[in-house]
Amino acid sequence: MNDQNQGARMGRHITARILSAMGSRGSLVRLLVVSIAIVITFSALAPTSFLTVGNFEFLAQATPEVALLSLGISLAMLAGGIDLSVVAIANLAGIASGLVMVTPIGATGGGLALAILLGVAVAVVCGVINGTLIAGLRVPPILATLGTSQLYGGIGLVLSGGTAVSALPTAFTDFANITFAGVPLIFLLTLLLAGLVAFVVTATPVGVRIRLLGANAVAAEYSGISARRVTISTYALTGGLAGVAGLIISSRASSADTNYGSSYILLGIVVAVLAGVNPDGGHITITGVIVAAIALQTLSTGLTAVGVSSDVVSIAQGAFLIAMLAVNVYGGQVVPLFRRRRFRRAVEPAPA
Amino acid sequence: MSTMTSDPEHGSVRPVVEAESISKTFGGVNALTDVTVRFLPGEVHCLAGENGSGKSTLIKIISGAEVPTAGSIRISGHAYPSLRPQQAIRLGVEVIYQDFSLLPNLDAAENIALPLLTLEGKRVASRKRAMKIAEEAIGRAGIRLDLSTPVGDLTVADRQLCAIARALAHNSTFLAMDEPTTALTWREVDSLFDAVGRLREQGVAIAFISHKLQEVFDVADRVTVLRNGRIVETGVPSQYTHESLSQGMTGRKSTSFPRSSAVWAGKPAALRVTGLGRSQLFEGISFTVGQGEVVGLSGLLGSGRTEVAEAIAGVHPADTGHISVLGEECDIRSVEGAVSAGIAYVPEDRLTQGLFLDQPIGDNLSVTILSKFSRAGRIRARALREASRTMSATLRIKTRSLAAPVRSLSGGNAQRVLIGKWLLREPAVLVLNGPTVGVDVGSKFDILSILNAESLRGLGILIISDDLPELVATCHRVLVMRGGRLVDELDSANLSEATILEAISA
Repeated sequence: MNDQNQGARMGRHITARILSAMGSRGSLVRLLVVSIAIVITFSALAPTSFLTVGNFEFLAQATPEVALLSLGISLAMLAGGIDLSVVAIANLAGIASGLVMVTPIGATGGGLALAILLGVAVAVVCGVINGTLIAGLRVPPILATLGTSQLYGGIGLVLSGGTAVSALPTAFTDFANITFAGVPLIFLLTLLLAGLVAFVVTATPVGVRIRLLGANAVAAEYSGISARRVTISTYALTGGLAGVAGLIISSRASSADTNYGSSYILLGIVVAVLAGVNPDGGHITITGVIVAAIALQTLSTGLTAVGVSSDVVSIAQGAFLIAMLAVNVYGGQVVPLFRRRRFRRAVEPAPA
Repeated sequence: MSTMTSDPEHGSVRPVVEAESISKTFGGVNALTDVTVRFLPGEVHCLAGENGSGKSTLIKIISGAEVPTAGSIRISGHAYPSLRPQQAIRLGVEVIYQDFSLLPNLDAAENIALPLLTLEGKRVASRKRAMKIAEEAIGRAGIRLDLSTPVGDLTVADRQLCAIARALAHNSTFLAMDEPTTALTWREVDSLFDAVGRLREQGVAIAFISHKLQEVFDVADRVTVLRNGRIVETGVPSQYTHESLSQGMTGRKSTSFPRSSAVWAGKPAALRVTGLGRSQLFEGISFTVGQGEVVGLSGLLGSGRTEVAEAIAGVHPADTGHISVLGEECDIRSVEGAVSAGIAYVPEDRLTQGLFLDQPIGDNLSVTILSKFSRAGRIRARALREASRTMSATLRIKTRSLAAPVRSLSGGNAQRVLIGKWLLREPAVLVLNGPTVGVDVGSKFDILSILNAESLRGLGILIISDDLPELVATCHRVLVMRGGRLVDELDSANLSEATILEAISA
């Protein structure tokens, strides 16, 4: 038995391991393979524009809002629902706090803090309304949040008078540019919030109840879990995350508008599915969501670096979502075929 | 070693289906070892065994759903090393699985005719032809069934009959039924057995899979007992007694259930129900369950027994009447309310109502005590895990890890999880709806022992069931419902299968 043969077998073994890990939903291996593939592809295609410090700084700046919205959507999915209103909530939160910031009160430090708190509070209230519609009136989550998305967007439009709320205080707009050792503060803040969500989901009674409700709503009821309270908590939390995302958006854009980030709904769903969050409820991975958000943001900056238009970016994201859903459904079935064939081939020469 | 008894009596009749020295391994585990069984025309052949004994695997191999590791299937004299499902159907092999595999949005006639029409390769389904096929099929089996009702609206019993008619529609010569009586009441079982008898007269070979002892004696012409994938014995039912058959299935003696004696007299009742009613469903229900007492609640399907249980449990609260727990009046408006009052409910449908199948066993157990094991909004994970582990050990739940999903457990072990989650909550009264349905003999004994032990510690237990031997063996008293009213109460002096049966159906 020579070394080369053994090496080849080891290689096959590792390939099979990676493939089988890729087949299982929520696998971090799959996520990392996809992420690395994205980075390698664009590094090869556009080394001069993609592989630059500036591009990676931009990535770290642009990822937080996507990551936070995706976390919100993932939480709703964990409970067996979905939240299509996160972008509308984010913009409404941005507009509400922006309107306070542009008043004389907003110029003071206390006023700024008040404005920020108000923005998050508005977002949480929006979430509570979503949760109440879903748990109280039993409106399907997809319809309830599609409806409230229009509602919150419309309120934002009326509040802002149809134009962007601009001339925000520099203390606020500079916030997005603060960095720690080259890493944007908003990126660190996102990691902190992700950690907080992870804590809620794994280590608090309400988090476990959200997961169980999403896994089997009937059994949850028979176990004495209050679907109403748990659902409202879920969407309130989702709303809060969307609110922070909205503040980050308006800080980065130096203004607040109802039209920002309309593509983020689809993107957020793609991130959640790629991360391995189960759209049927009952499973979430916070690490996965963060990694997937970075990967998807890399995909879109990569496509831009290669020089394709933003329309094509949307097509790519949509195709990516469908491909990942297909892997979730069929991945587990395809991989064993691969593995069995490889396994046989590896076994044949052995009895010498 | 397989010990297939030779049978000169039937030597001349050619079997419809024969399993010859079938072995099957799943990833190194032997599900079947050298199993030989012959199914003769016009004979009801019971495959008896506990869950996991290999009886379902054998049927799956015969129907082409699984490929045997060794051995062959002989159909009408021709040997096949393995079969494909379509091929098996064409050869006249039909299996009715527990879920019946019917299409709920089509009506009964369409369901019955569909496989035949598909086999014929017809692309356009004619409604008239479907009706004709269906009428012929139910006529052959002597089944009464409204053919134009969508299957989704039929009762479980009628769906079963519909599945039998479907099998008949394409002239099956072999029909296997996997635990067909699981969801039926005894009266529906009678009409099922009538249909089975009719098929037998027409020369169909019938494989009847069951782990209920009484059924084996009621319906079988021949019985083959499987244990751990091997044939233990084959014979005619008259050679056996309940005890010998049970011993063959479980490999151990004694099936008599332990029976608690002490009722905590002088203490307030664990559960007192007064004048409970819910419009159209039940009314004037009054009874008590003492501390340490086991009370049965029986009645036909539709008698209101499940509705009363769900009212007490807060799933569908009552409109009128009072419920008190340990002497304290409580207003039960939701499951949460019932749980905090000290009432625990093990529902009828374990898989959808009781368990989170894809979630860890540990979380399924601890769902009821999350708040109790939390401090400042944070779960005390180690203490919670310890409590779940202790309960799992006490109930002897067979699993390597509490992190495994409940789906990986057998029916008996899953039921233990469901009971365990409520015992962890330490309720005053435990209401169980069909606690041993779909559970094998060995687990059934264990589960009833657990309930017995809990009652000795003062837990009040209300068992909703129509398993008469079980009620007689475990209950101090049995209440009987009919048409939404409590019509009878049998105390220990008058408690027997005959008296319950009489009260239920009077």
